[in-house]
Amino acid sequence: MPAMLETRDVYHSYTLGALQVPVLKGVNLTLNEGETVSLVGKSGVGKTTLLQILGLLEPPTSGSVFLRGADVGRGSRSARSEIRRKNIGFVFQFYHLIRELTALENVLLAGRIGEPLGDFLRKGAAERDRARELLKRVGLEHRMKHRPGELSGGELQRVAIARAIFSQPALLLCDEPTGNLDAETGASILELLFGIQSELRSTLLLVTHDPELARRCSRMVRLVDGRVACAEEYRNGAAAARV
Amino acid sequence: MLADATVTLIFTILGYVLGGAFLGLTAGGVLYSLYLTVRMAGVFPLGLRYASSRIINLVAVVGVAIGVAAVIVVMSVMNGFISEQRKLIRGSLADLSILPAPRNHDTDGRPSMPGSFDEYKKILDGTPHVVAIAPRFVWVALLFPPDTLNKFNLARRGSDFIVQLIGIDPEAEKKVSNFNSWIGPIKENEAGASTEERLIYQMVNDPADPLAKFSHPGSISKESMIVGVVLARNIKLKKGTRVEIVTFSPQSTREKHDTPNMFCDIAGMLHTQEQEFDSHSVIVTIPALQKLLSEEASDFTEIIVKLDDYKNADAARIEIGRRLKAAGLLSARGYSVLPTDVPLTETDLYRREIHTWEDQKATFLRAVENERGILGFIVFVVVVVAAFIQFAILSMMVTEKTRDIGILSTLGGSGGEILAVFVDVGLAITTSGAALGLGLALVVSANLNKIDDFIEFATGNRIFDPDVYFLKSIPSEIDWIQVLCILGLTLGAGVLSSLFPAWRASRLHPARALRYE
Repeated sequence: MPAMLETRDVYHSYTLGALQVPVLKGVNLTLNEGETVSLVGKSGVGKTTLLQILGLLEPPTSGSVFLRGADVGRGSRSARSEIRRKNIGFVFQFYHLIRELTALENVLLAGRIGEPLGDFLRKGAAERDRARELLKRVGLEHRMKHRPGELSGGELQRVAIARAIFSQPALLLCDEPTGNLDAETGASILELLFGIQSELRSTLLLVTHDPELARRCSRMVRLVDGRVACAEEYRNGAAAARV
Repeated sequence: MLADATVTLIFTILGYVLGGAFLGLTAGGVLYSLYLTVRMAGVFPLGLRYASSRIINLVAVVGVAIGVAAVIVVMSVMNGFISEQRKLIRGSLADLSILPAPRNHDTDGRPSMPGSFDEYKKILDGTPHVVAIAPRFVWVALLFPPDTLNKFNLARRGSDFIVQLIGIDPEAEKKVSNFNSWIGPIKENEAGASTEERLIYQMVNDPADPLAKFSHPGSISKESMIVGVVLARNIKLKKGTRVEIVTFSPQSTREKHDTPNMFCDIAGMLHTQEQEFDSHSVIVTIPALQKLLSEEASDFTEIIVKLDDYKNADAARIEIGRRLKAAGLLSARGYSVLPTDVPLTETDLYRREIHTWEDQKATFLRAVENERGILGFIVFVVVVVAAFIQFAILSMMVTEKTRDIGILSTLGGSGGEILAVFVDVGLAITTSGAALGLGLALVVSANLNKIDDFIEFATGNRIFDPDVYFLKSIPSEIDWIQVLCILGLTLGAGVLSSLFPAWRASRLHPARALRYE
């Protein structure tokens, strides 16, 4: 059975004027179906860049990205968008909600992207029910009509999680989801996130600086100088080094 | 150096190419936008929300609304003006006028009409759509008022004294034209009649027999005439004034000049509301004119025709033309100056000797319609300015919403979806502005005269002077096809102005957009 997500020799560099700044220098990584993986490393090491390449937001400068065995990293922009819409959910540190829309509409937007008029009219009511259901699931049934400006940090992240799982993605990519929250709220968000991951049996990749949080995942991947330095596997609290 | 004709041709072609390109782009832009809206309907609510949640978008909405309202109001006023002008210039003209080309008489070689009026009448009476006909003998003359001093004015104001002598058969004339109302009283609120004209206007004694011998005390004239009210004002004529008419006879040749004259008493005045007719027309009877000109061979120079419905004018013209030509009462090629080997279509041929009233005023009608087009084009610039404002606002919005564009990408939005969001914003601004402008235009068009009254009350000046335009109020007539064209062009301008910012948004790099602060 092919891996959920796999990278082979992924290199990526940014262009600054005439300069090429290498960020990723040959990343080989495999994420299996249903596992939870944390991605750790110093600031600027390329964690977010790798997350964006894995989320097909950016093609790698060289190397390949396979999703369930299919090479998806270098497809056309619209093809990558289509794959992203159907398979990948994102949760960000700064929530990234659209401030003109209510909590309900933000969640609903995930279902409406790419919908032609016929589907929009036919599925409208069902999608709205699903968005309501998801907001209830994350404990925000009383905040559905509130806009982002009227919600707390924890609430914003719950809306973002509800939006990320609207289309039941096989892969959840989270970029420091608790980085902007206090410890107590962060803990509740993690409970929610891991709970949902276990319900959906999605593959979860979590970028974090928090070692405690990293240990909650089944595996931790460390990025050093643009490469995967080591991967540690956790099983019931025990850790074994795998280079 | 290029000849003028070549330059004109180049500019004409350039005009067509640019105009065609603009219309093509506009139509293409509108269709593509509608396609995007339908194909990417899921993001339409987001576009609407973006459009409605920013106060600055209101500036563009108001700009579009003012532009649309201005174009519709100006076009409606021009439509009303053209419509009123058509009624005014129609004033003295019959549905059709038959002007057969004269020919040289068979026996003595003198010019005359191809037949007598009775010969024409026999044919025309049975022709479909023809309701009534009347003969007119139209000639040109100089009219001298009795005041000798005024004769000196001839050198300075010669054109005032040159008149068109129109010989009529009053009974037949009444059945075809509005002769009865021309010699009737001027109503207080009659459009086209100035206050001065109402004051000097004097009716004929007996409308049933308007050209009967005028029984003015001391009159020695044998004939009476009716003069246009503007002519009366210009050369200070009154009812009962005896004037002298001097003309030339149709038999005048280069060798022998024949300039007959006649004294007539003015029996009254007429007013057709057509300035040109009322300032140069003198009505007499046909026998009086024939007598003046010693003309026996012809008893008319033109025949005026009343139709059952003016819509049938073209059909009637062809039918009348065929019948008269078959009877030898129309010339083979009319007044055409084209060489005889150039073929003429049947309609072209008859058009030369049978005129509708619009043919006779074609230049004026074309000029006014052209003026309407130019005015509409100039005012449409306001809509174009509004489109530029919309372009600026949308460009700012794309920059402001860069991170949202990144968010849409993470949700699986392709370039097409992002394009659709901003096109939807443009469509929402343009359509709401256009709808608001249409409402505003309808209200303003319906209340133009009240607005004019209010401006007069507030400033003491009127926008619209009825005496200048020969109209009692500001006319307004909404043409819905025209309104649809204006709305279509506005939609096109709005869509074109939003396509570029939307395209720029769709090209943004998702990952970089997400990092945008």
